[in-house]
Amino acid sequence: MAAQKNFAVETSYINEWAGVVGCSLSVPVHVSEQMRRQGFDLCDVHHVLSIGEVIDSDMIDHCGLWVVCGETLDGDVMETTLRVVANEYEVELINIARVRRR
Amino acid sequence: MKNVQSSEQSKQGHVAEEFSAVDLGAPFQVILHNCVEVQLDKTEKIVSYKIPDLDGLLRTVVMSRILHPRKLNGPDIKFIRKAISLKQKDLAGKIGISPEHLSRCEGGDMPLAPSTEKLLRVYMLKTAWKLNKLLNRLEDVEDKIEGLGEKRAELEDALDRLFDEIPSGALHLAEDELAFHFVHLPSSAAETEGRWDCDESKAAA
Repeated sequence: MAAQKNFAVETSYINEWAGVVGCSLSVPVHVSEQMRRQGFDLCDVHHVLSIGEVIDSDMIDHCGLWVVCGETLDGDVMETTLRVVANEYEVELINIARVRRR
Repeated sequence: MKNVQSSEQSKQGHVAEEFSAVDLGAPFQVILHNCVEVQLDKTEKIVSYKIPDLDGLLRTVVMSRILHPRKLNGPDIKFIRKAISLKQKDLAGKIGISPEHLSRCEGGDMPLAPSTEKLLRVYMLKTAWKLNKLLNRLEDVEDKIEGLGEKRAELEDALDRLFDEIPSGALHLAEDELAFHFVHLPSSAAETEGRWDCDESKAAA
């Protein structure tokens, strides 16, 4: 059985990022539309980033490409893919998916 | 993302003079002035936008609505609860009602009683300002510092009286949509980061 990867550092970073003053969030229009189609909003995204867990980590254009999974306050499970510029505290939403409905 | 007028050009894109932050999911208008960077394509359509300090914005929006005298309706309650990351059962417990009761209020099936609404406003305000944590810490150390206990009690009392003047139900029937305008103030020498402020002048206009 393959060992499950642990992304504790990435998880700590993104959980703290969500509560730190001054961190900016980029939202492409297609993600904005995805959110609305699935009944999510930026409050849901902010909450999932503050309590969720990074379940995959890769690189894209010298930036982090992370997948964060977490439960919204309504009990849905959201999986969101992010591009993270860690040293500038910048996060861009790449994709949002509902993986389990309450 | 409606109502975007691009003005000042920056290296990464345009800073929108006025940006309607509909993706926050607020049941009232949240308009951000001169702080949201938008990327436009060749046809001037928005490709993406960048909000500075999302956490600070959510807390400021919550505080602005909580301090506004209009009665909180169901969608208002649901939005401010979600904006400060509170589960329904946690909030219900703090204001002394059952989660089912709160769920009915959020769904618009019944209004929140004025006394419960006051409790909710006080609790939400303390949470949005992160005052609950501060007050708990003060309580932990008040034995060690003379007069600290009294000051903490005074602060709690002042917060509890903050909403005494709001006329319960007086603005029940207002049907015009609320709009809150915000600016993101750049950092000063005293602050390492900028902060959000509700722009009352634009709200009045």
